[in-house]
Amino acid sequence: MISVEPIDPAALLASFLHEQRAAGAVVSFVGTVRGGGVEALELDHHSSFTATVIDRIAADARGRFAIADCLVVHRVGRLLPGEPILFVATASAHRRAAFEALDYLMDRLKTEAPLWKREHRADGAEWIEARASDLADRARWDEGGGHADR
Amino acid sequence: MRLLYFGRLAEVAGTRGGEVDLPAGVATVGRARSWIGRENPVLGQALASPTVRAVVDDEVATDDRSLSGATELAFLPPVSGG
Repeated sequence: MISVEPIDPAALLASFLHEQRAAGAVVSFVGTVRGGGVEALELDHHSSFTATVIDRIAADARGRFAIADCLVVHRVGRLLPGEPILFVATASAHRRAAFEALDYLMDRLKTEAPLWKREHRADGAEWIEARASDLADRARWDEGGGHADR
Repeated sequence: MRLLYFGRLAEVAGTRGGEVDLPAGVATVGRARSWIGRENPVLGQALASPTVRAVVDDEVATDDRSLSGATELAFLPPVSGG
């Protein structure tokens, strides 16, 4: 899911926990905008394709891991350091599937979600591309990557 | 048809895109790429990068994809990571 408005991770988690209260295990992740000289972060997105791809990644996680459900909410637009940019939660009967599904979701979102970041700094603005380490993390889940999924 | 540019491509294009009438004969993604390149060579060069993906009506499309009946052609630079 895409949000053009600020996201409230505590409220999202509370709602997900309520829905999944009988699941057994819930794991959540919150990404925030790093400081370190960044004055603002701009996230460009496609009004329909971005959500389509994120939904597909979430559906893949539901199919691949023994999870009851997962939730992905990505903020877009102009963000300030410290603001939450991404909320992901997974629920499962036993913790390992929830942890692994969340790890998988993060690696795929990082490398496949159609989002384009521009960092605004005192000396100008720069478009950011996926880091090699993100691509290496993503490759762990490919065929023969050695992970036991279930 | 609606042409859209994202991220650094929108910066190179100087626009996020809009409605255009493609000339007769510009019937595929590849031909649209070439036509845009003739109109705006700098943008054409950016679009020619193998890392730029074309998406037609929310589906990733190759250069031979027909634009017949399509409403939107979007050009996507490499993603940034969520």
